[in-house]
Amino acid sequence: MVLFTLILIFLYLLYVIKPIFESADVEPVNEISVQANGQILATGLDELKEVAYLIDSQGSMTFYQMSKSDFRDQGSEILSEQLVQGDIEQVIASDNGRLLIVDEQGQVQLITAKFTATYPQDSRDITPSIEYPLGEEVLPVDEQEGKVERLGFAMNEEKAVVVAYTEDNRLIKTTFVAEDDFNYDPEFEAVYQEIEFFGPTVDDIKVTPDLRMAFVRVGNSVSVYNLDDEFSVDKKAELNSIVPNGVDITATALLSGGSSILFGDSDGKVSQWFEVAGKSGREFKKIRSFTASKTEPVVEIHTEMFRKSFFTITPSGEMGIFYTTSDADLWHGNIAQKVPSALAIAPRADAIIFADQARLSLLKVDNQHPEVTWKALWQEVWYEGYPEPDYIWQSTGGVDDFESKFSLVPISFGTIKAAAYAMLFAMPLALSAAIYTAYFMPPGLRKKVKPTIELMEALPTVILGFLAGLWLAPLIEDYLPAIFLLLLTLPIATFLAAFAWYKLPKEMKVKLPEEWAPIILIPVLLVAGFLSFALSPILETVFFGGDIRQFITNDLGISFDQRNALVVGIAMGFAVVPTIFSMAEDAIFSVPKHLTSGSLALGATPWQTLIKVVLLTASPGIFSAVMMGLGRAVGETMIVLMATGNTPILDWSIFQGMRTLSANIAVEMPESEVGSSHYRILFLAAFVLFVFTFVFNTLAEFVRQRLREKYSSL
Amino acid sequence: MITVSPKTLNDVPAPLDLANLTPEQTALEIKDLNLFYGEKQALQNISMKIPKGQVTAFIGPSGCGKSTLLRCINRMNDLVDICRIEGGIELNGEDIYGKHVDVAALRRKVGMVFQRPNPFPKSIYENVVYGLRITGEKNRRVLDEAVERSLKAAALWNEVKDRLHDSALGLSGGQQQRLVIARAIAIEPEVLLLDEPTSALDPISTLTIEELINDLKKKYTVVIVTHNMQQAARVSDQTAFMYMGDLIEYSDTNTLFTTPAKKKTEDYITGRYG
Amino acid sequence: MKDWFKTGSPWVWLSAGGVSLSLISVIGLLWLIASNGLSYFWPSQIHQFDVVDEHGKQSVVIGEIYDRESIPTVQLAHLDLGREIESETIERILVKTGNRELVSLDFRWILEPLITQRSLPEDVAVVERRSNGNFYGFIEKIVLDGKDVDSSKLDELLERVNEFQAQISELQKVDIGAINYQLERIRLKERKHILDGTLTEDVKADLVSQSDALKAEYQTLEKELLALRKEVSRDQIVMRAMGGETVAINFDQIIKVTFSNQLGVIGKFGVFIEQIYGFIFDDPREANTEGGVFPAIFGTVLMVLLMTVIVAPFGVIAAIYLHEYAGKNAFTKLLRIAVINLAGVPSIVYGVFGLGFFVYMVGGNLDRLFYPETLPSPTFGTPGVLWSAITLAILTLPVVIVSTEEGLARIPSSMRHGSLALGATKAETLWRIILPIASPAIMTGIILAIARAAGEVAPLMLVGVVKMAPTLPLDGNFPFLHLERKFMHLGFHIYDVGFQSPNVEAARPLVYATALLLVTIIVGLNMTAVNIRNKLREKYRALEH
Repeated sequence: MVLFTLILIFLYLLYVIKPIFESADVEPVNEISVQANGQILATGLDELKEVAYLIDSQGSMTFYQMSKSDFRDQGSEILSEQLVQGDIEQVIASDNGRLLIVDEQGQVQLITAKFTATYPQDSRDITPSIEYPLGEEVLPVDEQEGKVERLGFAMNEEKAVVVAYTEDNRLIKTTFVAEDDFNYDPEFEAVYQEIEFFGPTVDDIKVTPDLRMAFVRVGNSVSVYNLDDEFSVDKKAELNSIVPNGVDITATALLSGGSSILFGDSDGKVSQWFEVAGKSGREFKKIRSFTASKTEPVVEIHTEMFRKSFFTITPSGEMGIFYTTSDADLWHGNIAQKVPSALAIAPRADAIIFADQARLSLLKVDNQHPEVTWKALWQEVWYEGYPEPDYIWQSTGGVDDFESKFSLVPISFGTIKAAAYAMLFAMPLALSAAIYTAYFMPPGLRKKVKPTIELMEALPTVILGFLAGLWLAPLIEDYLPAIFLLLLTLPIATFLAAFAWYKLPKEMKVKLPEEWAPIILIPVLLVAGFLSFALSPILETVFFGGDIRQFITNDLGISFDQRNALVVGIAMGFAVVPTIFSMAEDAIFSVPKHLTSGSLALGATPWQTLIKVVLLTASPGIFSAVMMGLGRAVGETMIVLMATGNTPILDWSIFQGMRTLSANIAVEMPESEVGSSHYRILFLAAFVLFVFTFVFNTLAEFVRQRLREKYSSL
Repeated sequence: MITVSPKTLNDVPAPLDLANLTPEQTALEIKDLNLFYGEKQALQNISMKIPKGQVTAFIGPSGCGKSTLLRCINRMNDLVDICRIEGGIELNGEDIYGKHVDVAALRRKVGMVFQRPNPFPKSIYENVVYGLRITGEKNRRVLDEAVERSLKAAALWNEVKDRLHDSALGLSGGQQQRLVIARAIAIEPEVLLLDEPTSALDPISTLTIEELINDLKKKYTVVIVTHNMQQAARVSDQTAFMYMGDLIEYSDTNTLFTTPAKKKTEDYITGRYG
Repeated sequence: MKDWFKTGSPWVWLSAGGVSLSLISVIGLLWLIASNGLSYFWPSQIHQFDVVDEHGKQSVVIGEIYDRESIPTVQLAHLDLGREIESETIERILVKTGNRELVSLDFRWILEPLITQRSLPEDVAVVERRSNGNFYGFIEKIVLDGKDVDSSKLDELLERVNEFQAQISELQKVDIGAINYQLERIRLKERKHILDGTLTEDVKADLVSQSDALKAEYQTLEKELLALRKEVSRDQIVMRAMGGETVAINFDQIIKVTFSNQLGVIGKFGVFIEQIYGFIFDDPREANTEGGVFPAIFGTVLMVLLMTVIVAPFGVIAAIYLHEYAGKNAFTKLLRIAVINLAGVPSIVYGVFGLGFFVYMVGGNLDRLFYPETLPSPTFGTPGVLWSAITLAILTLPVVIVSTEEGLARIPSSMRHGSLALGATKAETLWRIILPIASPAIMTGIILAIARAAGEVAPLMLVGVVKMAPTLPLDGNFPFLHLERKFMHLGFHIYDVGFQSPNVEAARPLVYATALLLVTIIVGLNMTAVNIRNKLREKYRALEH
């Protein structure tokens, strides 16, 4: 039963975790044959992968039933509409399924495919339609009505920005400012700006979705323009050494969120670039690169809408799936014999669709957790916008295309830090108390003292946490010098009391035997503690200019949190003391009496006997007590949750907080979506904790069983 | 096969006059010793002189106080909280219960070996030098010499000389007990107290230890508590018979076993109770 | 001195210091909680301070002294206090002034040197209200149905209002609650019929008529409620606050009016007992920061009881197997290590497991099988009291096993042999001899498990506890015990009120009181368990000799 439960927990945790370490998988679902006029320029799919569309070079957009529904057969044509008179020259896919149609006169139109789901007779029916977010009129991209050759586009509800290159070699920026909100009203006012540019051609233009930057690629060099300024468009940077000599850039794409740009080259490599704060201000840097193919160039890069995945295509129809943050090479395989004439990623990124001559093929992409790899969890990762690779835990952000930062390093570190400080506090206290109680204390007193200290184990940790957070933390903040003073005054007071006792006349010693030392010391320690606290404000005034907090922050340059490692160390130390005390006491107490008599009979003092014989014999038991204590400190949740600021930082400072694995689970688990990467990583955190404590406990128990056998031989 | 040579019994010199030992002949003098465990009196008015360089045995039925008396001699009873002592014991004329006596130093002078072998969970070597180490002896040569000397004196050297650094717990019971004796004599005590040293051992080990005791008295005053009358007869020069906390009879071993003066002694040695 | 060190005595004393320090901290901790918790119930004096601030402005502050501290004078150097301060430190007092409608902060620090006069006005009244916290001030007049009346009528009017309030809450919680519950059940029935395809016109008509009847009933109850509400809000009390402003407080807002400064020790004790009673049996108010903790106590007790029902048989059976039947082999060794490990697994891991396995996997499947009509809103596929109980049952399983096994081990084998020698089978011996003797040990284990479960919070945060449960898991509506509902818990209450509430300072005394309650329960349980165990040990020590 117990074993079963333990194994069930273990297996279930593994079962939940397993998918995050699985690679991606792609498999064909279905295929339909289509009737296209001329070349297929673009394709796309609805969210549920039921209806697909394609746009051909003769200007028509046709919707097909991709999989059978209750209302239509698979492959049947649902709707076909002529988008423009005459031929279409190119279709440019912008984000959110927006398509820019450029016809042979270089005139531009913006369309989106809209899919409406209705439920007649309790069954789903998806009806496609075509929408014109900026109106059905041709977009006035160029004030001079020149033919547009290349363009980049992005929009939000207030503004739409086009950066275009015209046949007469001008680079222009056109802003359509919404009169109201593009979600409800396509009316706009156009603002035209010309960008200083000299060049015979432009290969690629990309506008970031936040409408702040444009990347213009000419051959192997890329110019970055700042679109923020309403009056002039300045060149912000020029990227020249993107590819080595002899290699050409063959594809460009913006990663989801628009902070990173990807360059595919003729060598089959893809490199990721983004802006980081360097010595000379913000500059673009090559962050990492991927190998899409060893033999072929990368001809197309497609990026997902919300995640940092991208798909590469080579001339032989080989596709590769990658994820930037986790540096993951997820899948490689041939999906066609050559480059498909059009390819699109499904809105939920769970499928791709591509068109080839007269066929539309749908492939399922099983790529649930690309952001999690061993490297992303445990190694430094260079996140977008960060100056250098770092360990960061930041699971959620304000925006949809937020780059999740799932490094378990800071929270594992926090766990270790909290446990270490707790042990630092608990071990001396618990072990010295255990030694005295087991070895020096008269049995009558021991019978009272032991259960009293063990009672502490029963105290709910939520109460310890509450006291730590609301009572101890402010107290420590106010009397910080006193806390450090205590480290001095308590031992000194103890020694003084001991020496005073030693000098006491014999008659008094009989009345006040040494066995009562703990009781004698209680008032002594209380007075010493009180004195330390009373001295605290004076010390603060004399040594720290009246405010030790300011002294620490300003003069020492250490930041100071109210709920810091010191508070956690003390509070969790108290939680761990009874665990260690109880087991270590048992171990010391059960050292056979004839061993101690043997040593005493040889003329050793009780203290020598303790050090040389008792502790040596009990050492495995003490070790297992410490292990148990450590296990408890590592897994403790409520105290750290309440007594720290829960900031996931990598810093040993005693004046700063931390976030532990357990607190992290408690904070984030209720908010994580079931089955998401975040959810599974929290399970992984639980699993790590489980394994941590499993190792400690098994070790402790193993050592204890060995010890028991050894005693039986003594 | 080891046998007790008849010499041990016949070789005894003329019996000492135990009541009138000169101070030079006396190792220990117990004076009107009363011992209480809480309310219960465990020893009553014990007075005796234990001669130097001889083996003195305490015999008597279980609970007669013989072990308690033995433990008084190196103040092991101090470890029992409720124990109270009246009267005194003098070691070479000095009261061991005096005000300024260092208990640890006393115990170095009066070594003790217990009923059950109690080697520490350390190596054989470390067990033997334990007593020296706690006095702060660090000189390797001194320690090595002490180990060899003590182990030889305890008749264990030949058996363990090749594995001095193995755990002492790996020795047999008899070897362990001899190790414990070696440990006790390593610090060169004046008196060696043996508290039923063979009761947990097999007959062969017992004989080895008995031989050893006979050797030991050349250098040390040995006091042995034993449950086994034959053993007392075999190894001791003097025997004290105790009963219910009283010292009933104390004389040289031959006399006590052949012509006991008291009825209780006679009853005991003839096996009427025990 | 050197001799002294040689004896090792200083180190002995140092280790004795460890014991003392541990004792001080245990006792100090309990004392801290007890004193702070109990003082929450004790009515405090209402002080009046006349204060002249650093700009020479005079004001009056009325309220309870909440806290005081001394701070180094240097820290206040930037303030011109208008006089020289000789001492190194300055005392300052935190005063709870209440009256949230007049001042934005109901707490205020006053520097001791700025106080020109302090007094304890006799006639200052503390009005405890349903919202906005306490009001401190003097009663100006009482308005009865628009007419001024003598203030001696206060008690009579309060009694009247409280009676009506009781009726209102009865009406809202019991009667209207039942109607809402039945309406929801009718809606679900209809949906189930739709899903099963058995929604005929007859059934539909029947359901509609049922719900119409309920709606009509609801209408009449609502009217009754309105009438009561009107009665309750008939009278006002006009109070004068510390700044001299007058504020009219409607009686429907008032819970209690106390004249703390007029109370003698006995009177205060009466209020003290009354406060404790209210704390245990009242519902919380103002986002849990005022009022009682009854639902939390109830939730804790119910969850723990459920857990006991689950854990007791499993734990006892496992222990019996381990001790009586399993031989001494590698597998048993493995089992023992498993038990220790199960005890050592962090509680939050149990929470994660409970959430994933019980709530989402088991609960989700239960919903799909038995409650398809409520989907997509889950019934058992969401954290609730049942899952909490099961999760904690696993967590406390080792406690029961270890304790029971210890009890079994203490039974001398002579007893077993005696029974077996008389021809009893092993099972009979177990049932008739061993279990009855071991029952105190089993009790001990169960009590310890309960104590552990009552204090455990971290896993519950994942599998079922909420800060504010609208309904108790046990009520008058069929099937009475609602295992799928979420519940409140004392431990979580401490965490939530102490750390998540907007005004932590104001809530702190209540948290101390809750902590005291929880500690009392747990320490009490533990001591009982330890006593039972000690008695048992004594008993069998006698048997062994």
